[in-house]
Amino acid sequence: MPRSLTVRHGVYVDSVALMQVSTEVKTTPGVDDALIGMASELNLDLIHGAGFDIAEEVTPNDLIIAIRAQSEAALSDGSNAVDVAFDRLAAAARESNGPGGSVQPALTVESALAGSDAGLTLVSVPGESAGVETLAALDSGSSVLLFSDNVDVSTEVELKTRAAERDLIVMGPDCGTAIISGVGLGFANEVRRGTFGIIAASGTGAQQVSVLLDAAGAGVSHLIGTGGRDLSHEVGGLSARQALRALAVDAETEHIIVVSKPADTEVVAEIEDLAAELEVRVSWAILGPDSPSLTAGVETALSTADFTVPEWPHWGVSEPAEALTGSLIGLFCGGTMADEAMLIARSALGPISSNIPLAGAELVSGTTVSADAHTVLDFGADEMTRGRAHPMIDPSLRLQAIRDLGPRAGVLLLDLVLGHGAHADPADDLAAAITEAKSAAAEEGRVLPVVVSLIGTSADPQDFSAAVRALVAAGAEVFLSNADASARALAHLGYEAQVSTVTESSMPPSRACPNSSGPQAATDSAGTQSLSGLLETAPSVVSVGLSLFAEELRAQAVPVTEVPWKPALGDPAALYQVMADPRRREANAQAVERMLAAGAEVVGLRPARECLGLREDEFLHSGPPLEWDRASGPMRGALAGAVVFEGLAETLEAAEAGLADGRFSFAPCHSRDAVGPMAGVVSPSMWMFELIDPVHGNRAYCSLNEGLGKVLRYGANNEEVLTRLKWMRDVLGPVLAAALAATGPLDTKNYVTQMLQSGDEGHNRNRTATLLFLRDIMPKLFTLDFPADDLAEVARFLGANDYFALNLVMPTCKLAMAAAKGVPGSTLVVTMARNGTDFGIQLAGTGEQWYSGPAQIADGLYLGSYGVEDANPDIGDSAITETAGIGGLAMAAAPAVVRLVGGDVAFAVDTTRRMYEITLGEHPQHQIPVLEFRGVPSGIDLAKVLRTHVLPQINTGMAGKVAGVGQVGAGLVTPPAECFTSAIEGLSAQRR
Amino acid sequence: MRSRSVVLPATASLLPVPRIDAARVGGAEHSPIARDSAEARQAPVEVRHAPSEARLAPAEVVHVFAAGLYLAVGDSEGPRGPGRRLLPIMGPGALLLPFGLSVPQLDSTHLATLRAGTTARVVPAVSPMRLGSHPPIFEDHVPSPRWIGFPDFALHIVRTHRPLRVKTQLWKGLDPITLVALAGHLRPGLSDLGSRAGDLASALLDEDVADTEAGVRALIGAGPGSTPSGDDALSGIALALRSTGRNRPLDLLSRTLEPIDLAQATPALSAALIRAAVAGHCVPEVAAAVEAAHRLLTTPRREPPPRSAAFATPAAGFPAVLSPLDGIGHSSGHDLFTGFLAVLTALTCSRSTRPGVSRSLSPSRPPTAAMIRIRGGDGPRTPTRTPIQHSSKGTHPCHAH
Repeated sequence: MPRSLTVRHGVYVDSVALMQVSTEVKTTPGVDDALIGMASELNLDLIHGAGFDIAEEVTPNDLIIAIRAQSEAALSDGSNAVDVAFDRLAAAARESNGPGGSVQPALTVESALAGSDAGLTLVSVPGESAGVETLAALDSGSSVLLFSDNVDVSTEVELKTRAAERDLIVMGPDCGTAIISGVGLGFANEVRRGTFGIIAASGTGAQQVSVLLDAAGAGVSHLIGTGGRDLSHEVGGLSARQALRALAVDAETEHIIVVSKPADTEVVAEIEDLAAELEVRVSWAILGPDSPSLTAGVETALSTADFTVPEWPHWGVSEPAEALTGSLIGLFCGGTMADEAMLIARSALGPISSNIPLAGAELVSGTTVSADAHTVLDFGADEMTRGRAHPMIDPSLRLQAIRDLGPRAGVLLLDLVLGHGAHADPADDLAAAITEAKSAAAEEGRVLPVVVSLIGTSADPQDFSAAVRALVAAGAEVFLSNADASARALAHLGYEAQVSTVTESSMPPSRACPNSSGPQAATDSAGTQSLSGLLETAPSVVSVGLSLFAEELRAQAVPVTEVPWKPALGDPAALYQVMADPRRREANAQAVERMLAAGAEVVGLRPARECLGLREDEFLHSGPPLEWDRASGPMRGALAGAVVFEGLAETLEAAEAGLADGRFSFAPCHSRDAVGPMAGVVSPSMWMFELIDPVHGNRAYCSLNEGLGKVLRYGANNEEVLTRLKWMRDVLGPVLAAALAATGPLDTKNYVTQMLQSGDEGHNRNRTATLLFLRDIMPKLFTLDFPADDLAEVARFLGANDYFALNLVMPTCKLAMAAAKGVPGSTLVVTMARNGTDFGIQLAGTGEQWYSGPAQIADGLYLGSYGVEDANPDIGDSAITETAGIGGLAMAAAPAVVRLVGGDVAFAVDTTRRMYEITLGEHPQHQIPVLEFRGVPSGIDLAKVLRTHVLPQINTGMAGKVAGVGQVGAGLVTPPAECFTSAIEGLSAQRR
Repeated sequence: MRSRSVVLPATASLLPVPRIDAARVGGAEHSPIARDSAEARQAPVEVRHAPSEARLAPAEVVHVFAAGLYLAVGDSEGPRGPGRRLLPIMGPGALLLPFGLSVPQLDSTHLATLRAGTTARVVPAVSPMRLGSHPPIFEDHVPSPRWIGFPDFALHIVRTHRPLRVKTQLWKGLDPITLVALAGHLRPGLSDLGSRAGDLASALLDEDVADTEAGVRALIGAGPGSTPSGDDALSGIALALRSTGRNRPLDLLSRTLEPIDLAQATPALSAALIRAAVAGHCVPEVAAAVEAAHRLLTTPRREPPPRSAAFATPAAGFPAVLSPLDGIGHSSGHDLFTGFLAVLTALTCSRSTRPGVSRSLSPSRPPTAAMIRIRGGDGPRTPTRTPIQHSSKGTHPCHAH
């Protein structure tokens, strides 16, 4: 009995895979036994017990393959089978992609956060839309780095307050810099990791501080941005406090520095108090009249923390400066660097003109530089960045200004900021411009000294040393410290800068705390928060807005999910109001829960006059309210036919006249808890299915389906139609009523569940439910006291009409949505309905209000020789199926429907996947087998529709626009966007 | 085919990766079992390379799976002579082990170009990555790779990261009923894993050295799986001791494991995961399960329960704990949590009660005061006892911490 034993060293295979491989090998013909496993004691015993000897030494890291076969050939086959099985497993795992179609990328921040474990969202969309995205992130439990500017103060306060309630932080608005656990976010330098935590209300200020710390051999644990306005009186330091609490409990952080442009003194004092309460040491690098130097602030922080303060590096500075005449011209990319230069220069030169002047100085435009006066410009200010990128990314404007310097320029002062997000290689261009400016001056017999502060480190993506070399070669003097550079520039004009190295006078002193032994334990119950673990590990990020940021994160091996963003449909202010409504989340959760919990049972049939209380001259129709003169062909035909059927008029013309002048009134089915397919016309003597929701007690009604061909609901109204309607009134209705009374209530919610498992979607494919209904009433049907012919005709009628159960499925969906009504603040769509002219929707939070737009013509397949010119606009209450999550939303359950409405199977699956992006939940009971029994996408969210531009997908039949033609085709249609844009305005108006 | 210029950024965990001691240097096989220690100590001197010559370390793919791979990297300097280190390289879909490389952009198209046996070139970092003032967590600081070149793509290690660590939390007011019910939902790979874990948990909380050693040996390498069930339970026990702040028992566990040559008893990867767990590290799914368990087991029950279905019964909170565990290996997640819950259970009930015993009670019958007093009469009592705790269910003569 040939046998083989192979040992593979250092192979790792999980147990499931091992079982599969063993099984496959054992089925190879001629193989008697195969033992495949890791060389654990247990397995070794088994293998020895099976009569195999293992000659070599093995450890539990090794894989043993023992095969016993009937022949050498079979043995060899067995060994091959092992390899084949392993290969196949590897390939299958790699290629597994589901049932076809493609993966749906997340279209909203919420969806991206749900699908990843990201704890941070980077928002860089235009300011007017930034609030919505930030709210979406906070609602999903993610902190936000809000890069966007042009967000107003009240919105900022609202967002930050919301964040604090959920133990999250909003870093921003207008925050471009952060470092979390060694990952640079936005514009940040690659600095050493260490024990200094930085809280920064200034981006470039934070960058300056962090590169100085790096140069001093200290390092940064985390750099938390707060946005430039955080330390103002209106905002009150909301984010700074969050940051302080988080750094106080962070194990890595031992010292904290707060960096800012000039800040409100009261706010600063409050943060000082908080620091004392948290027993942490805080140093301050805040620019102010008496503290003009961030470098000085860093020096204080370093010496307080017992670090040696180094001499800050500089390059290209050889001789002492000559005192020259002329103006100080400062051209800056970083606003804080400009502020610092102005504060330092002011003591010597007096007020400095600027496009961001300090108090008491002249405001000038940044676009024209006159060298007559001392001038410092910020090229990152709003007026300079309209229609162009920030100068750190696009330096062209500043380079031009350098070239255009006038003859009165005495010294040129510049900053150059490196790091993530900045231009890949800015030094060469800057060096060239410097060379030109210096040559131009030399030609006129002048010397133009150029001083540059280079904010960067040797680990930054740009080549720091090469940048230094290029600038020095162009004749510039380069400093790591902007304060030192500013002082040097003053020296060139013959002044000495008065920058004290210990800046205590008006800045709050770094308090020595009584128990400053370091951070508190996380279990301290004194309310110390940790921002939901933001600082504990390197972040995974969701990015919405500029691709630049996502790219920079990918380059740092950070998992990033980018959300493709576009401006939302409709009024952005209304959308923000609705999103910010504090009731919204809870309201939506409640509405969806009720929708999913609602049951549906058909309990009987009664004529409409009894169960709906319709008077003799009252009729119902599908869709939102309608006036006769706007009604389409099929709707008029159906209403007129119904009037004649009720005997109220002899002829169709007389009927139409009565409808036109109001003698016969008509109202939406929805206004009476009913629904109707296509024209959906209900008249008093029509029998209605009666359904109840046993969970919430609501009722819903629907007439009986006439079948296909020439039928009233398509606007046909000839003798054939009327004859059938009479039969339905006199035979079908009473028989079904008796059958149901004898059978008892039937669970139609369960029909829907079974339909989805059998390839029907409930709108255009209803055969399964029709047959389920027939099966359920069959036993009692033939025991009823009716003529046998009638019973047979009823059975034949039901059996011949695949759409019969549509009229049970629709009211079932209506009950689900009825349960969700009346929840103020909710953005759930509870009704979608068309009357052949208008498409109307209703929301859970706005009662009976309809929001309408023009009904569209479906795009699909036509019967016979019909074409698009024959089609009537969208008509029917059957969109209640999509509203409840089936129909077009569940196309993946019914791929065969594409034969009717067009498209291919992948389209069907992709459509459902896309619908998950605009819905609030998934149904626990109605499941789609091919999506691994995922629940149907349930609860269309108005806000998500507007934000993603994805409209709910409806599969529908198409009526001919001439009354009586009947069905001309079937296809795909969506509601018009107007429904949703007017709905958001209606909902937001309610909030005010 | 893919051009060679595809470079994927990667981040390296600061935790070192495990050694595989079956050496593959120059055909010589160094097996610690066959040689005596004296010879083994001599051999490395002969084959040691000067560091400057070892610029390119030989490396070989040992296994490719759906979302990542294992790379065996030659390591010429080790306590037992030349050997290899097992480097997990994980794409976004993989379980994020506490050691190894994370490569967010690694996908199936890259993995399709690799097979077991594919060679790779590893360029180590010239100097340690800039770590700042903090020393690494382990002393075993091996120069980490900077660049790994595969035939069709390369990895560039641009960053290091500190792996996820379980933090100490307050586990007050643990509800024994829910604990028993939750434990009943676990499906460990070994039928008596619960009682083995319970024995060790009790021994550790009692700080009984002998019983701890016995308990550890009963778990290491026990059961099926490439990470044996016993190993996973051991990891779960370690994580629970850290999570509940039981530092002395955790120290005892660490000291007990220290001299054991784990590599002989269990696969190297599994041994490394145990050591990582003792240091508090775990995969994110386990951290999520621990968080969910903390919320579930320490949230005071409201009377009556609110209308929302989510809070109707404690069982409704179970999926939040169990479903992350389902995604870990064949039974590893459940095995680990069996160990975790063993510690919590040992903390809530009298010390002689084992999880295995309490599982024999049907969950619908809460232990009555009478039964507990009877069990409390068995076995030796420890000298230090904490006071009787009143719970919302009435008075239990259990020890609650």
